[in-house]
Amino acid sequence: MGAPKLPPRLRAFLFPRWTPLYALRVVAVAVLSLLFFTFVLRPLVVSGASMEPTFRDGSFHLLWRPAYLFSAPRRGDVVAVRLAGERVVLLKRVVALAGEEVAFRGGRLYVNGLPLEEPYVKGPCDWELPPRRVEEGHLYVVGDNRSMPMERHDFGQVSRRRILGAVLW
Amino acid sequence: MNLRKIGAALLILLCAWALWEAFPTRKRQVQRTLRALCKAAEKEGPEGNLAAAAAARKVSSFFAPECRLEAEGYRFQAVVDREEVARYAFAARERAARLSLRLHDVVVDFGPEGEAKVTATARLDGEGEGGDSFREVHEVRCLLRKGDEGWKIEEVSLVDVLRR
Repeated sequence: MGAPKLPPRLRAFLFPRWTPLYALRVVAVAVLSLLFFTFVLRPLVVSGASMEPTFRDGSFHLLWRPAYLFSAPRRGDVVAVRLAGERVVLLKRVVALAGEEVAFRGGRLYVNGLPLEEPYVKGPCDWELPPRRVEEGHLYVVGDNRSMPMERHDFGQVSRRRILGAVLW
Repeated sequence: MNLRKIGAALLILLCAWALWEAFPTRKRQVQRTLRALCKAAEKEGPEGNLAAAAAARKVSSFFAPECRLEAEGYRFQAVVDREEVARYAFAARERAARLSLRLHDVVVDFGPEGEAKVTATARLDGEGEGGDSFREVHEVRCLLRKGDEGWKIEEVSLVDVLRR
């Protein structure tokens, strides 16, 4: 039994003739894709539970690198924090900006003495943290999972220069 | 192209690879040392005290006779010898059923006196004896110096990226 015959146009689209021009197009698409998915829209795989339930362990997301080229991060944004490089980053939510005062009382987050409405926090929380002011050029970031012990959760103020971009989806 | 030409090309590639492996650059020597350290730190399953002690001693052999450890976030600073490094490594192996250390984004720079300054993201994954898993991710800076025994770690510091 022979292979089914494809219409010529579909066949030309699926199996084009390998010409120098076609090879150049393939290389150009590959290079552009590599640049785009490195410097513009970076794929991320979540590893860990500190952003649950918003971002589940093992879930796939995209990081929008140009997010803060012309604007500053805002409260509520989920951002990627660079460590030594960009292969392993921390995903955290911005809860306070430079100059603001942050504290945890009875598991509730207070910014400038007022409780912050945080619909993304689902589980119970018993964190206690005395008030502290966010330094200039820094942001205060915390994960959404406040049910884990405070000692095991990485959060705090981070230099604005370490913010790589915003999580798009 | 006949078989003889293909064979010659393969032979040239093989020689180039052998030379590459036999005469690594300083940077590759440092990277190789760090990879070997990660491998030595790994624990894949249950082990006896003797095996744990041997593994801990192997880990300590990557460090200089005196090494400075610093973790600003934990307010920890100490100058330790290899025995102490081995004791820390043994204690960690004793408490964990499984351990894995990985270094990502490794950047090696060389100072004026030939010392290697390394910046990397260290990721320690493990499982406690009770089955509870844990993960620590930190930016680390290390200083290595080459001596008679090869590259040895003289300083390790954890960078405080998030300050409470």
